Amino acid sequence: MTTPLASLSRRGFLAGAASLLAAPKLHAAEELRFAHAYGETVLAAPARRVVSLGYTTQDSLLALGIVPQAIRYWYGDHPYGVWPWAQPLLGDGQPMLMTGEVSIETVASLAPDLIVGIGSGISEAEYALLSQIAPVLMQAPEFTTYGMPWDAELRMLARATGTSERAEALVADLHGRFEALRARHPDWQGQTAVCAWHEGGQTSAFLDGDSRAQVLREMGFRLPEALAQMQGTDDFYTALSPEDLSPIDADLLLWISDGGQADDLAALAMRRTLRANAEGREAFCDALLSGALSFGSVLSVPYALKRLEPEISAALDGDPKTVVPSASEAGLL
Amino acid sequence: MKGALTLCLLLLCATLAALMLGPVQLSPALLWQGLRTGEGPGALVLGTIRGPRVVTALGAGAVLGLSGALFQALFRNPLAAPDIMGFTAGAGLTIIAAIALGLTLPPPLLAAGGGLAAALLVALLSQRRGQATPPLTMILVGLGIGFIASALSSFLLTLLPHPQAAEAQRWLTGSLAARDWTHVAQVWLIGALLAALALAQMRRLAALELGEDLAAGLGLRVGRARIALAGTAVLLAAAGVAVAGPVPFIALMSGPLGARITGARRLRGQMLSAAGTGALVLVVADLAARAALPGIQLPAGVMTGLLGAPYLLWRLSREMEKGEL
Amino acid sequence: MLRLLGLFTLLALALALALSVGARPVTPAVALEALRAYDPTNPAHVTLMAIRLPRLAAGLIAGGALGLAGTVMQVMTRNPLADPGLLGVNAGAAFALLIGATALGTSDATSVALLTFPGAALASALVFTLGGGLRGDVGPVRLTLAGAALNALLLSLVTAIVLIRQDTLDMFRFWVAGSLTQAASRPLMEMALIAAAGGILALAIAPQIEALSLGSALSRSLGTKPRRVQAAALAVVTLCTGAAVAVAGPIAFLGLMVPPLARRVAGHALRRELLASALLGAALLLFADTLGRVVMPPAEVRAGIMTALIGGPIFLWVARRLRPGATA
Repeated sequence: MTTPLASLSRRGFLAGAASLLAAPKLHAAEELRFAHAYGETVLAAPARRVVSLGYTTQDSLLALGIVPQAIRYWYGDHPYGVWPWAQPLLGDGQPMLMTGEVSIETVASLAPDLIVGIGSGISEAEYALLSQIAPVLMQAPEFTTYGMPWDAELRMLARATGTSERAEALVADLHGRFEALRARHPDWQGQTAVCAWHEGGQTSAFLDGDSRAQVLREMGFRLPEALAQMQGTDDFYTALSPEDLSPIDADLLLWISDGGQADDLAALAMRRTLRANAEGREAFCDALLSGALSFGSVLSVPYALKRLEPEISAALDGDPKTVVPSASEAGLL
Repeated sequence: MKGALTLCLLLLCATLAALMLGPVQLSPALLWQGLRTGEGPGALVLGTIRGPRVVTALGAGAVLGLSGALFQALFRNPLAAPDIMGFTAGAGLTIIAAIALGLTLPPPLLAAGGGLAAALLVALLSQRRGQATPPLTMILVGLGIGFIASALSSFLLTLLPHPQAAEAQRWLTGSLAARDWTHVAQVWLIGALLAALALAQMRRLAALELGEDLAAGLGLRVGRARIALAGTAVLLAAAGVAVAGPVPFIALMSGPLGARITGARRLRGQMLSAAGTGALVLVVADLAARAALPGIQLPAGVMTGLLGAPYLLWRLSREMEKGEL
Repeated sequence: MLRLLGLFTLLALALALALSVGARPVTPAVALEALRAYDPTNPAHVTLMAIRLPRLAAGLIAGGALGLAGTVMQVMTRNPLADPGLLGVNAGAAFALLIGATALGTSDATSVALLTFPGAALASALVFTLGGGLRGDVGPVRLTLAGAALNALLLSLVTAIVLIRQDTLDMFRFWVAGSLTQAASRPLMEMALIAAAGGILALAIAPQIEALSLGSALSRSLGTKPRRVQAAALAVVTLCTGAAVAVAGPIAFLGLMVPPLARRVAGHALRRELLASALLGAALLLFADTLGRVVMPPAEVRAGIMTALIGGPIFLWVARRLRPGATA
């Protein structure tokens, strides 16, 4: 049930962590400084043993060629909490999966030399305690807890792990993908698009601050005027009246789901009054595609683009009769 | 006396177990080495990771248990506990509101503030001019304030984006994650002060238990004595919530359970056993929350409910047999 | 009689408001047109026929059922704190919902209804039994304790599931603030029948319940069989609460505040009191739902929250006026 501290190596790690706590030795020449939401973190040298506490940070680390010692479980049934787009990079790695609150003793027993807390929601108290075990990285001060964009996160982690060259290549590759996509579809540019979500009888739309809306923007779309003017709880999303869904009646309407909402969406009568529905410009994101958009990581976005492109092409071909495969499968037509 | 010894022994065992067990297990030898030399894994666990957490749990559990027992004796009603009377719900509401508004104050402090505000509101709203407030009115008003506060919390929870909602849910439950020695100092110092204050009022509480008329006949200023006692109890609860969040159920169950363990008859003994039992329950709950399921660490509040509810149900069925309730 | 008539008027007003108020204006002319020639692409028609009418039906069912169940619970246990929504029942429904949704992986509105009905029904039966509903001579504290215990137990489990499986949190947090917004996809007809069965049973056993509330010994001498009445009352509470939770989710305050109000209107004759509770419960829930549509546009404030916000002050007012001893 629990891990006995019998193995010498494990005991060695703990002792190592303890001595690190007692006397942190830094080489001024090599030190890496990071300013972030909870202060500043200094690394003596690029990190090798990394614990990933952010709900999605395993993607960036794996992309940089680093298999985390432990991964924080968010949702979904994927081995080690690694979703399909990142699985190949995991290889034979068997990171520990941590569920619920951050177990500080578990982190300590792994003897990491870097703890990634970007997008983890840990409190300042947890940060302070974890910092006594190993340097902790939080999101850069200009971003909200869950709002650090994929490229900024990737570059920060790359600097901390000495893999900046690889990160630049990855960033250039993904930006290139977006560019190529925009070039392939000049007709999409400037059209309106919305990522919406329907749960518990409430329909909500994601706003520009959200990773899902950002992906659409980078594809060349923009939010409809009516939606852009609505004030949400924050920049991330806004709730709509069930009697008036017109703000999301965009040229392209993407439905995000975590798997269970297709039937409710199919039964949503007000959806039938939208022009996007009448003209076949809706697409349905299943759990995996929605997950890829929600992760919004350097690995999941390419996966999402690959799956979205044919769907959007079918939705925006100007012919209402073209069937959008995902919408048809989910029973939305 | 034998009962008190049992409780002390249980507390000692629970504390040792909480220090030794967890996702990483430590032998007593390693612990001892850490304590003596201040080095090695034992020292790390004792000084940084588990030590402050366990000692905070002991303190928070004790003040919550004492608070509940004071309420129950004062109102002569087993339901009179800060959990039931709106305190916990008020605490939860402020936490969620702060997360929704983006305030960055430490959640436990917010919780204590919200709980105090709820308690004040209950006291004000249950006052009636020219009359002493009957305990049942106060409990009912507390329930009402609690319902309104939880409704507002659910409302705010539907407004939050997903990850913030998860965060809020965690704080609502009450947790001992990442406590340090300042938390320990805070809860033990304030707790000791308030406990002394409470124990100094035992004579008055005993008089009140005889009934208001009799207490007044004994020369007690009933209204003032009750306000002082209730105030002490509320502050005790706030001290606990400030370091552990709104952990449910401890205040409600510690009094009756403690009296059973120690068999204490006199008020002072009952109060002390409630405090001891509160500490015991919270330490055990926290241990279970972090060590029961491999790879999963839950907030302690989840476990206090799981441990406390079966006890309450069992007690109900027993007392039904005896025809006491 | 005049007062019951007043209640009917109140309900009629609630119905009219529920149909006419909301984000989208629906004029009587449009309403007639929607009835005569329904156009599924006309937003006003859809608002009336697919949103407001089902919500109205759900409000009638859930509000009426909760009012009834609350009165039966309070009379049987002689406990002004008894409320089907507060005492563990909603937690039971939530627990069943999360277990079901986690195991089956579905969270659409229909399966939600099918999962919550047994959860709520079982929990209400359990609380009512543990709380002394089958014993008659028990004080008000028991039921509340039993409910609090079950509530804490189940909510701890619910919290654990929600924290471990974060995807269930979204379903849970929207469901737990009970609402009528999903009425269209809930099994309204089935639940209406179940609630009606509960209501008829309640009216049928009303005289026996009254006799029982005089005290077990006295009622036996009047020829009432306490066990049988208690079992029937349990069935009423179970059916009504289950149906209400299945169509509207947890609506916590209604069953608590309706009975004292109904007593004021209808006096102490139980049958009239039951009728009044059903009417009042339905009217109040509809008012709450309608108000929730307009207070914070464009989003809606869920009916379960509105009932608590409206009901809270009413409850505090009643609590302050209760004479000590009258409730113990």
